[in-house]
Amino acid sequence: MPTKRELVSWAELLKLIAEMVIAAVRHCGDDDPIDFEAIKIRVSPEQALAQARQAQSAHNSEASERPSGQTNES
Amino acid sequence: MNPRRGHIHRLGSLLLVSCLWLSACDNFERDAYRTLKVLKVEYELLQAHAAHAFLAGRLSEAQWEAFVVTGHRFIAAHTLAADLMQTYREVKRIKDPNRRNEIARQAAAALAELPTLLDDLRRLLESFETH
Repeated sequence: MPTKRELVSWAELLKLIAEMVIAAVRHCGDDDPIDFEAIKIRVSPEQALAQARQAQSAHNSEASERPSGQTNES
Repeated sequence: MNPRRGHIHRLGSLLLVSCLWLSACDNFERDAYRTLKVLKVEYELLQAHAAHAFLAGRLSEAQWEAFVVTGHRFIAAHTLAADLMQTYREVKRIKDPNRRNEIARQAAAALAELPTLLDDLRRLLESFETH
Protein backbone atom coordinates (compact mmCIF):
# COMPACT_ATOMS: atom_id res chain seq x y z
CA MET A 1 0.00 0.00 0.00
CA PRO A 2 1.64 3.31 -1.02
CA THR A 3 2.13 5.90 1.69
CA LYS A 4 0.65 9.39 1.45
CA ARG A 5 4.16 10.76 0.79
CA GLU A 6 4.66 8.31 -2.11
CA LEU A 7 1.31 9.25 -3.61
CA VAL A 8 2.12 12.95 -3.39
CA SER A 9 5.53 12.32 -4.98
CA TRP A 10 4.09 10.31 -7.88
CA ALA A 11 1.32 12.84 -8.45
CA GLU A 12 3.87 15.66 -8.49
CA LEU A 13 6.17 13.77 -10.87
CA LEU A 14 3.34 13.00 -13.27
CA LYS A 15 2.26 16.64 -13.16
CA LEU A 16 5.84 17.67 -13.91
CA ILE A 17 6.08 15.34 -16.93
CA ALA A 18 2.78 16.68 -18.28
CA GLU A 19 4.03 20.27 -17.84
CA MET A 20 7.28 19.39 -19.63
CA VAL A 21 5.43 17.86 -22.58
CA ILE A 22 3.12 20.90 -22.83
CA ALA A 23 6.13 23.24 -22.68
CA ALA A 24 7.90 21.24 -25.41
CA VAL A 25 4.87 21.38 -27.70
CA ARG A 26 4.27 25.09 -27.03
CA HIS A 27 7.85 26.19 -27.68
CA CYS A 28 8.64 23.94 -30.66
CA GLY A 29 6.31 25.83 -32.95
CA ASP A 30 7.88 29.19 -32.21
CA ASP A 31 9.43 31.00 -35.14
CA ASP A 32 10.87 33.92 -33.23
CA PRO A 33 14.23 35.37 -34.33
CA ILE A 34 17.19 33.19 -33.38
CA ASP A 35 19.05 34.60 -30.38
CA PHE A 36 21.35 32.12 -28.65
CA GLU A 37 22.15 34.62 -25.90
CA ALA A 38 18.48 34.96 -24.93
CA ILE A 39 17.93 31.22 -24.45
CA LYS A 40 20.68 30.69 -21.90
CA ILE A 41 19.55 29.47 -18.48
CA ARG A 42 19.80 32.42 -16.11
CA VAL A 43 18.19 30.98 -12.98
CA SER A 44 20.51 28.78 -10.90
CA PRO A 45 19.21 26.09 -8.52
CA GLU A 46 20.02 28.40 -5.59
CA GLN A 47 17.98 31.22 -7.15
CA ALA A 48 15.12 28.82 -7.90
CA LEU A 49 15.09 27.81 -4.24
CA ALA A 50 15.04 31.45 -3.13
CA GLN A 51 12.12 32.12 -5.51
CA ALA A 52 10.24 29.07 -4.23
CA ARG A 53 10.80 30.24 -0.63
CA GLN A 54 9.49 33.68 -1.51
CA ALA A 55 6.43 32.23 -3.24
CA GLN A 56 5.81 29.95 -0.27
CA SER A 57 5.98 32.76 2.29
CA ALA A 58 3.72 34.95 0.13
CA HIS A 59 1.26 32.06 -0.11
CA ASN A 60 1.44 31.46 3.66
CA SER A 61 0.83 35.10 4.54
CA GLU A 62 -2.07 35.21 2.07
CA ALA A 63 -3.57 32.12 3.70
CA SER A 64 -3.19 33.55 7.22
CA GLU A 65 -4.99 36.76 6.15
CA ARG A 66 -7.97 34.75 4.87
CA PRO A 67 -10.97 34.40 7.24
CA SER A 68 -10.96 31.04 9.06
CA GLY A 69 -12.73 28.18 7.27
CA GLN A 70 -11.88 29.58 3.82
CA THR A 71 -9.65 27.28 1.74
CA ASN A 72 -7.62 27.62 -1.46
CA GLU A 73 -10.38 25.97 -3.43
CA SER A 74 -13.10 28.38 -2.33
CA MET B 1 11.83 -2.88 -11.50
CA ASN B 2 8.89 -1.29 -9.72
CA PRO B 3 6.07 -1.14 -12.35
CA ARG B 4 5.18 2.45 -11.43
CA ARG B 5 8.81 3.47 -11.92
CA GLY B 6 8.75 1.67 -15.27
CA HIS B 7 5.77 3.78 -16.34
CA ILE B 8 7.51 6.98 -15.29
CA HIS B 9 10.68 5.97 -17.15
CA ARG B 10 8.69 5.21 -20.29
CA LEU B 11 6.87 8.54 -20.02
CA GLY B 12 10.18 10.32 -19.53
CA SER B 13 11.73 8.62 -22.54
CA LEU B 14 8.65 9.48 -24.59
CA LEU B 15 9.05 13.08 -23.49
CA LEU B 16 12.68 13.20 -24.65
CA VAL B 17 11.92 11.55 -27.97
CA SER B 18 8.98 13.90 -28.57
CA CYS B 19 11.16 16.85 -27.65
CA LEU B 20 13.75 15.87 -30.25
CA TRP B 21 11.11 14.96 -32.83
CA LEU B 22 9.18 18.17 -32.33
CA SER B 23 12.32 20.24 -32.61
CA ALA B 24 13.29 18.68 -35.93
CA CYS B 25 12.87 21.36 -38.57
CA ASP B 26 14.36 23.07 -41.60
CA ASN B 27 17.96 23.88 -40.70
CA PHE B 28 20.75 23.32 -38.25
CA GLU B 29 20.53 26.73 -36.57
CA ARG B 30 16.76 26.65 -36.20
CA ASP B 31 16.90 23.03 -34.94
CA ALA B 32 19.54 23.92 -32.41
CA TYR B 33 17.66 27.03 -31.29
CA ARG B 34 14.39 25.17 -30.75
CA THR B 35 16.12 22.28 -28.99
CA LEU B 36 17.96 24.64 -26.62
CA LYS B 37 14.81 26.62 -25.97
CA VAL B 38 12.70 23.55 -25.17
CA LEU B 39 15.44 22.07 -22.99
CA LYS B 40 15.73 25.36 -21.10
CA VAL B 41 11.99 25.40 -20.35
CA GLU B 42 12.06 21.73 -19.33
CA TYR B 43 15.07 22.22 -17.11
CA GLU B 44 13.54 25.24 -15.38
CA LEU B 45 10.35 23.27 -14.68
CA LEU B 46 12.42 20.42 -13.23
CA GLN B 47 14.44 22.85 -11.14
CA ALA B 48 11.34 24.60 -9.76
CA HIS B 49 9.82 21.20 -8.98
CA ALA B 50 12.97 20.14 -7.08
CA ALA B 51 13.02 23.40 -5.10
CA HIS B 52 9.36 22.97 -4.10
CA ALA B 53 9.92 19.31 -3.21
CA PHE B 54 12.84 20.33 -0.98
CA LEU B 55 10.77 23.00 0.77
CA ALA B 56 7.92 20.51 1.20
CA GLY B 57 10.33 18.11 2.93
CA ARG B 58 10.25 15.48 0.19
CA LEU B 59 13.97 16.00 -0.52
CA SER B 60 16.67 16.01 2.15
CA GLU B 61 19.44 18.61 2.31
CA ALA B 62 21.91 16.11 0.81
CA GLN B 63 19.51 15.21 -2.00
CA TRP B 64 18.94 18.88 -2.81
CA GLU B 65 22.71 19.42 -2.86
CA ALA B 66 23.10 16.49 -5.29
CA PHE B 67 20.42 18.06 -7.50
CA VAL B 68 22.23 21.42 -7.36
CA VAL B 69 25.53 19.83 -8.52
CA THR B 70 23.85 18.01 -11.42
CA GLY B 71 21.79 21.11 -12.24
CA HIS B 72 24.91 23.25 -12.54
CA ARG B 73 26.41 20.61 -14.83
CA PHE B 74 23.34 20.85 -17.09
CA ILE B 75 23.41 24.66 -17.09
CA ALA B 76 27.12 24.65 -18.02
CA ALA B 77 26.51 22.18 -20.89
CA HIS B 78 23.49 24.19 -22.12
CA THR B 79 25.49 27.44 -22.02
CA LEU B 80 28.39 25.80 -23.87
CA ALA B 81 26.03 24.59 -26.62
CA ALA B 82 24.47 28.07 -26.92
CA ASP B 83 27.94 29.69 -27.10
CA LEU B 84 29.08 27.24 -29.77
CA MET B 85 25.96 27.96 -31.82
CA GLN B 86 26.64 31.69 -31.49
CA THR B 87 30.23 31.08 -32.68
CA TYR B 88 28.87 28.97 -35.56
CA ARG B 89 26.71 31.90 -36.68
CA GLU B 90 29.72 34.23 -36.63
CA VAL B 91 32.03 31.76 -38.40
CA LYS B 92 29.43 31.21 -41.12
CA ARG B 93 29.82 34.86 -42.15
CA ILE B 94 33.59 34.62 -42.72
CA LYS B 95 33.14 31.81 -45.25
CA ASP B 96 35.69 29.37 -43.88
CA PRO B 97 34.14 25.93 -44.51
CA ASN B 98 36.70 24.02 -42.43
CA ARG B 99 36.26 26.21 -39.38
CA ARG B 100 32.49 26.25 -39.86
CA ASN B 101 32.35 22.43 -40.06
CA GLU B 102 34.54 22.07 -37.00
CA ILE B 103 32.33 24.40 -34.93
CA ALA B 104 29.19 22.69 -36.26
CA ARG B 105 30.61 19.32 -35.19
CA GLN B 106 31.40 20.62 -31.69
CA ALA B 107 27.98 22.26 -31.35
CA ALA B 108 26.19 19.10 -32.51
CA ALA B 109 28.13 17.06 -29.94
CA ALA B 110 27.26 19.55 -27.17
CA LEU B 111 23.59 19.51 -28.20
CA ALA B 112 23.47 15.73 -28.34
CA GLU B 113 24.67 15.52 -24.75
CA LEU B 114 21.89 17.70 -23.31
CA PRO B 115 18.88 15.33 -23.42
CA THR B 116 20.93 12.68 -21.58
CA LEU B 117 21.93 15.18 -18.89
CA LEU B 118 18.32 16.29 -18.48
CA ASP B 119 17.23 12.67 -18.28
CA ASP B 120 19.87 12.07 -15.57
CA LEU B 121 18.43 14.98 -13.59
CA ARG B 122 14.90 13.71 -13.96
CA ARG B 123 15.90 10.20 -12.85
CA LEU B 124 17.82 11.62 -9.91
CA LEU B 125 14.79 13.58 -8.78
CA GLU B 126 12.53 10.60 -9.34
CA SER B 127 14.78 8.31 -7.28
CA PHE B 128 14.87 10.86 -4.42
CA GLU B 129 11.13 11.28 -4.38
CA THR B 130 10.29 7.59 -4.50
CA HIS B 131 12.74 6.24 -1.89
